[in-house]
Parts: sequence; C-alpha cells; structure tokens
Amino acid sequence: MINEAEVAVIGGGIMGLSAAYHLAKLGVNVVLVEMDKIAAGASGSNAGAIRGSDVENPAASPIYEASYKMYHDWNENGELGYDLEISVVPVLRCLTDQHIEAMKQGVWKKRQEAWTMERLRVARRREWMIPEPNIVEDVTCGIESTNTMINLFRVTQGLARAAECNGAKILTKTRVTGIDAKDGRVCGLSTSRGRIEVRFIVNAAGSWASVIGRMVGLKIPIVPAIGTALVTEPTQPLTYHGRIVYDPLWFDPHRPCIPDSEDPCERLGVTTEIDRHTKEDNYILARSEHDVDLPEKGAKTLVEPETLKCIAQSAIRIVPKLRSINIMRVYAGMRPVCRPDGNPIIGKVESVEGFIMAAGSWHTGMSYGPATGKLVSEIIAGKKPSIPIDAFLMSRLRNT
Amino acid sequence: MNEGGLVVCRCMEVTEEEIRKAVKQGALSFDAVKRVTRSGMGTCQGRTCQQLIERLIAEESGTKPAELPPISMRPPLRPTRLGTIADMEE
Repeated sequence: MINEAEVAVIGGGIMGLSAAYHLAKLGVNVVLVEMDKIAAGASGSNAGAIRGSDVENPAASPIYEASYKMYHDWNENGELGYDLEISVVPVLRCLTDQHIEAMKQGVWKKRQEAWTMERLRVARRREWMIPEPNIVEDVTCGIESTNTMINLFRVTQGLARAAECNGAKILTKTRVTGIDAKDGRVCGLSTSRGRIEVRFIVNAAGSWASVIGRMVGLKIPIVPAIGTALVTEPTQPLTYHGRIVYDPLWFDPHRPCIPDSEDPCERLGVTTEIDRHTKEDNYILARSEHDVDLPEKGAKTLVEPETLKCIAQSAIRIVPKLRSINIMRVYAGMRPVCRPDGNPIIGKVESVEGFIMAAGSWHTGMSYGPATGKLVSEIIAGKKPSIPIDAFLMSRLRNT
Repeated sequence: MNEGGLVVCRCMEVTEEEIRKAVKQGALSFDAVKRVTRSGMGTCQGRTCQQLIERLIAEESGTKPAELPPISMRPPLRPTRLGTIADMEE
C-alpha cells in the first residue's frame, strides 16, 4: 500500500485517467484511487463519440479541439498501446412533416440556439446522400452530418497503462472514506486500503463527485442521470448511416426528461438512437436519460425494465425491421450532470486549498476528458492553464 | 483469417496471440481482455470462451483461473428478440 503521494486523483474514468497520465508525465508522484475498476462509470458506458459536426458550445470548443487532437496524436504515436479505432460515421437526424412545420414557424430554431443552423442542411428524403429504405415513411426529411467515434475501452485501458508506465500508481477496488484538511488545505486521504498523505486531491469521481465534495464540506451540484442501451446480435445492415437519431420532442441533445409526464418515454427521457457498429456488425440501441438516486455502494448500475421497453418500442417505431433482431445484452450507466448549467466543473475551488475539480461532463466526457486532464496537471504544476477555464470554475455556480 | 494462431473467441474471431498480448499490456481479468479485444462480446457472450480465456490470463499472469476477478454478467440470459422486449407486460 502507498502511504504518501504528491497528488491523489479520485476516479478512474476518462477525467481521472487523463489527469494521472499528464501528472505522471510531468514527473509528479501521483496515485489514482478508483472504487471499482477502470472506466466503471460513464466512461465505460457511452457511445464513444468525440466530435459531432453539428453540435457546438463556444466556451468549450478549445477543450474539445485540444482533446480531439490528443486522440489523434495518441493513435499516431502508439503511446496507449492500442489502435484507438478513430472513425467518422455519417449521422442522420430524422424529421417528420410536423418538425418541418414547427421549423417554418421558428419554434425549432428558438429551442436550438446552441446549434449553428446555417451549417445544417435539411434534406428531403430523396435528397439524402445515403438512402434509408428501412426507415418508416413518415420520416420525410433529415439532417445529415458526421460524428467522430473512438473505442472508449481502448482509450481508458490504454491511458491507465500509459499512466503507470510513466510512474503513476493505480489502486482499483479502493474506496475513499474521508479527506483530511489542515489550515484549510487538504493533507490526507483515507481509503479502504489505508491512509495516504497528499498535497493535492483531484475530484474526478464523476457521478460520485458530490460524495467526495461533502468530505471537504463542499456542496457540488452534480447529479447522476441514468442512460440505458441494448446491444443486438450481428446482423446485415438495416440502416446505412452509422447513427440514426429521432427525437419526438425536437431532439434537443440536452433535453432533460419530463418527470411528471404520463408518457413513459417522456418520463424516462427516451429518444431514438440507432448506432451501427461496423467492427462488430451489430447495433446499439439507445437512448434514455433521467436523474436517479446515487447508488452509494458502487458503480454497478441496474437496468430498468420500463426503460428497455421504451427504447425497444422507439427503435422499432423508426426501423420496423429491428423487431425480429435478437438483443444479446443490455447495460446502463450514469452520466454526471452539473444540473445548474450542464457544463463540467474544472479547476480549483475557493474554500479548500489543494482540492481540484474535474467532473460533471455529462454527454461530453470523452470529448473533453483528454484536455481536461492536461489542464488539471498544469494547475497542479503551478502553471497558467493553456486554455482559459473561467467558464468552468466552481465559482461560476454561486449565483445559480 | 487464422494469422495470429488459434482462434479462442469464435464469435468475434479473437486469437490466442491477441489475448496473450492484451494480458501482457495489463488486461488482467476476463472483463479487461474483453474490453480491449472484444473477446466474449459476440453472440455467445463468453459462454463458450470464458474458461479458455481465463486459463490464458492465468497462464500469462502467473495466477490460477479461480483467483481471477468474477466476470460481469448482463441480462438477458439468452438472446431475446427486440419485439419481445417491446411487448413486455408491465
């Protein structure tokens, strides 16, 4: 057991792994503490999309771009030990006559301020670059774009290995039980495998970030939102866009669910996402999102039958031929959402010296993670962060 | 197809060599090997290859198969049609 380190990183997801990797590369004595296994939470249960040609968040785009470049660099220099399987897949966002009517009235545009509408071309069905004969006929239009995808398991396993090769220690199946502070500064970490003297603590605990925050008297407004997916058997292609998206409620990517709705799909935040995986010749059917209570026991997330049923119905509704395809496994995971504004919390906090945040990235953890970890390493090394992070500091939430 | 030697996971066509390489790179459990090589991710969900793969991990890492971490099992128990899930009673 390790009893001393300069930095303890809490959480073995993309944020914590990248922070540990970058700190180790700077020669900092760092230990990563994970209560379950590497990528047991949101980093191990997402689609692996790192960039969409149709989504934009101006404040975050430098972090996004830097991370995107980092993935390509890692893939080229082979530092993570695996081919990260970076690929660009065509995406189709399905629209119905009802959507078009709403767009004409400007309703849709108002709800989609974050999107750059000019770049999105609404095409009639016969104009699609890739025809989709198996999509139901009431999908009369669509927006075609692209997503860049990575193999998230190889990224996380590879980062863990690269961090260790650079001198980081990784403790899995190790639970943090308390944090000691002296004169307003963190000085120690109690874990299920003993105490570690530290000078800095990085809170990269994702959905559990609020539990870690409470240990130093901080109220962190990050809550877990559960997402569920169904994996099919290998099958002939039924769709030709790598990703088909249909959202009856205007497919706002950050639309929360409607908790008191009578429609179970709205209540559970279910929309349609049909992803074809060419490496496995199968489909992953998603998606859902609604807030849940935090399972204090561990990262294991239970699948809810009602959500499965809604996702199955919504996928069949858009591509009826999916009805006879077998499901091989289902899984669920929790995404850490910073409820006030949906943006991650990165950087120092005012009340506790030596306590650094890197959590709450919601859908964008894989897109922001690599660069966020690097920023954390710069902050700890006493350097000015290479990308401004004012929009992500904990202090921004004071007035919300 | 059979370039890397014996195929251990038949569903995903993963060879003995690929599995040994993954273990050498730090994947020390069935789940960890699965995550980087896709072994056990196919139609059988590891029901056929689990023991073989665990034997390879044990051999490569100098432990016993019984001492390896348990694998994470996920529903459904056997492949189920999407239509059956969509029509489930409450």
